[in-house]
Amino acid sequence: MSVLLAVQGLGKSFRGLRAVNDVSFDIREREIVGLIGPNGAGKTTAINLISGAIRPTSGVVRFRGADVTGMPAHRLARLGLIRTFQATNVYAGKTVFENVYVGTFSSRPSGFWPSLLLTAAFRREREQTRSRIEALLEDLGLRDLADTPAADLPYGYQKMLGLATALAGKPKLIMLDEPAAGLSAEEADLISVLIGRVRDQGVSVLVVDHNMRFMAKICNRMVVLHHGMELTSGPTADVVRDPRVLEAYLGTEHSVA
Amino acid sequence: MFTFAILSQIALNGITLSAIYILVALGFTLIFGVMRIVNFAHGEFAMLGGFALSFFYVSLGLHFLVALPIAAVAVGAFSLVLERVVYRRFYQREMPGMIASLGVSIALMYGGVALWGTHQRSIPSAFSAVYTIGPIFVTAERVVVIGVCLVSLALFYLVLRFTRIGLAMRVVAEDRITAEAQGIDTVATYRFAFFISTAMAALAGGLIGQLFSLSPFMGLMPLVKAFIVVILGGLGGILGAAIGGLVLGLGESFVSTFYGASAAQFISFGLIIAILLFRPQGLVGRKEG
Amino acid sequence: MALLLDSDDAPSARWRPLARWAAWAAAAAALLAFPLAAGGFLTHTATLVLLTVIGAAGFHLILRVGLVSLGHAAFAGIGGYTSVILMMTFGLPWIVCFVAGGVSAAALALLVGPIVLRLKGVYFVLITFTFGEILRLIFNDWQSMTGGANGISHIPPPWPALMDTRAYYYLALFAAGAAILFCARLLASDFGRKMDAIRESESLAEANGIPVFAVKVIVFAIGCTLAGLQGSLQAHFIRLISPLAYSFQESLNFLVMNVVGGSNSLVGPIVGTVFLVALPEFLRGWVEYQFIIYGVILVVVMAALPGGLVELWQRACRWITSLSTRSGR
Ligand SMILES: Nc1ncnc2c1ncn2[C@@H]1O[C@H](COP(=O)(O)OP(=O)(O)OP(=O)(O)O)[C@@H](O)[C@H]1O
Ligand SMILES: [Mg+2]
Repeated sequence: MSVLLAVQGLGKSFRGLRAVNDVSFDIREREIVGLIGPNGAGKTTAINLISGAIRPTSGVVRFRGADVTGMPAHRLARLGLIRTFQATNVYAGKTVFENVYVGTFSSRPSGFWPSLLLTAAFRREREQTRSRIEALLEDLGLRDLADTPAADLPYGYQKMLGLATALAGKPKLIMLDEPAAGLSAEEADLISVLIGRVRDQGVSVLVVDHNMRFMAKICNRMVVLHHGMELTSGPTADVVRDPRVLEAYLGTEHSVA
Repeated sequence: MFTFAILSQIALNGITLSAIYILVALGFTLIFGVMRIVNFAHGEFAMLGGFALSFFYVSLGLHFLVALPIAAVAVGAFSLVLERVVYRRFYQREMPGMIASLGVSIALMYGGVALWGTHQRSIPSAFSAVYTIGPIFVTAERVVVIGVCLVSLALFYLVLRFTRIGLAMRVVAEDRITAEAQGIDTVATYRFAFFISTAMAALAGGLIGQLFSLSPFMGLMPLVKAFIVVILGGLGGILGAAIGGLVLGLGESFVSTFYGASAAQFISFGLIIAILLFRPQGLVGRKEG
Repeated sequence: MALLLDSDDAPSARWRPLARWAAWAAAAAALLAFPLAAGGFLTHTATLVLLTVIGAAGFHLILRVGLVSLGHAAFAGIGGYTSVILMMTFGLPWIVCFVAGGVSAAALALLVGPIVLRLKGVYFVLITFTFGEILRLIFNDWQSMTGGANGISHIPPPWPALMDTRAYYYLALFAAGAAILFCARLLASDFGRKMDAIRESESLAEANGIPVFAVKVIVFAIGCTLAGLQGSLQAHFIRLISPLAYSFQESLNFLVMNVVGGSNSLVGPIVGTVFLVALPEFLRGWVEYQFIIYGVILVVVMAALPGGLVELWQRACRWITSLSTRSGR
């Protein structure tokens, strides 16, 4: 399996605070990697750095063999690196269908004029996109809600819609920031099954979540951050048994040193 | 031409302007800091202050230094009605709040036109003495303007620093969520901040009316100055407003004496653009979140 | 028309296409026949409305990416002054001046846009306000070119034939129609969906592959171009320009038109413009009360009716349908 994403010495300081400090890891094709750590460990910041939402102060990000450090997020999305957010993942005023339609932009020709002038080629391509969206919605159980405004959806469905929108962009690597947060156990299971299927279709996944049951079930490997630094990494089974990880989560008063 | 006498005369004029600008800008920045509303009607409260002063001082014949605070309190009290009816709906919602305050601004401005007509009036000078300190001439009028500003700034500082409500305002401006969690009565805090803000604008309006002239459209000038001052000093910061006001007042005074009024305007606008671009938090402000 | 508006995307598209066509045709016919039936004053007012609609639509586009530009009127000023100066000082034919009016506004927007668009929210409002005031100062102080505070008067019409208000009405109708169709088509295209996505959430839009900054620059440039074109057309219609007409209060008027009409669809600024330009023309002598009412309306709309008059209309329609279905049972 070849390396899809290689992160090397990644670092970010916010006015002296080292939110992410010298972090390195790889993600190979068809792999689900978990990024865990206590609150404020720097997980979201790491995703922001990799996805191009903010620029790193140090380090290199390579995606599909090319150096993409500091490349703006929208270009990375078009290259196939798509992320979701911890909080807002839907366009509240748009319907479910329209949300996913926006998601398709990163995987489609972006010409200004064909769409403005409604050329025949554009209409054909849009028809295909429409069927693709319908299939995706069907697949994720959102079909009957296609015309519902996203703001009216229950929380669980909003999470699902955020995922659908990201998937509509045909990612090679998808980075999910707490996809199961706030979900019931059944809903979290649904998401984990979905993530597995996404991987089976050839997409790599980087996932952040605090729900360890959920994470242990889906991740092949895990990277643990603590105070912005890489505490450890390795196969899921090893990481979850590592006492240092438990310590990091429980706080320093338990440490022997 | 750069004699000490001229320079100090210009500096004195500049300080007079600064005093007024700071008074206007403090209220403006207080409302933004505490309620997150860019109050486009701020200048209209200054305008109301001018007309209120004219009423108490000219029509009722009260002493100027009595009429001025009464006018400010009257405008502050009136503004609480607007706070209740309009502003309260828009707290912490920057864009809608800004647009609604534009509505208030238009309504007050033309309310003023309906009541008082469009012609410019003046408030007769309350103090006519002129003192000479060495080579500088100081009119009593200017002394009063600077004095009134200093006193109200000091009061403002004391309230903010040493009273419960002042502490509440600072906490709410710093972090509203925490403030609410700690049981601070945010509504009362908002109301008080609003009152102080508009009363200070009204004071400034009275002084502007005394130094220059009164008209329903006079609110635009203080609003624009408040914009500039808070951009210089950073939106929402108190110290920034003081420094920004000083920089603007002195700068305007010097530049307009030597290069003309429009040069002063160009420079201040140019400065704003530069600052907004490179330090949106203002010259002395700190970065937000 | 259906094709132009790409309305097959709207759920109502399948709904009585014939009725829609008929309504469009009737509206077009009414607009074309208007000056024949109406008197000179009405036609004059209608022409002003049509011209203002162009600038208001430009403002609307910028609003649709979540930005309020208080320098909008100043861009109309750029278009107006450019066009008038080229015609009166350099004797160029009107059509060249008109195009130059739009191009100059566009060029300035492309120059300034990438700088000011780095700011968001109220900071963008403040910087565009400042920039607009700088432009107004230039109009005011560049005596030799702009005529200073008095401005330029006796501006010739585009062609001698257009001295006639009725003739100018048709020019304005054509221009406004073209501008509205262009904006409608733009908003209905994929580009328009990108704009709406940006208004809802910039970071999400960026993560979904939308070049947020570039889209904003383009939208700003298009919006300002429309303002410039309006400025040119209006200058040659009123035949007088002065810095006063391009102050930030005029930009505020554009904002009021959009907010009162409704800022969620292009119909909003059209309705808002009719409301704000036509009403004062009929209520002359009542100017101050009318502005008081505007102020109050602005507050009420922001507090209770974020979708503006358009939303009021939609609510009324829904209410009537619900009444009729209830009584039908
Ligand atoms: N834009 C920013 N400016 C300043 N500090 C920031 C910024 N973003 C994050 N931080 C800080 O960086 C640190 C890491 O934050 P981050 O959001 O990456 O943590 P996290 O691991 O995602 O936590 P959580 O599990 O709570 O989501 C925190 O201390 C946070 O306060
Ligand atoms: Mg996080």
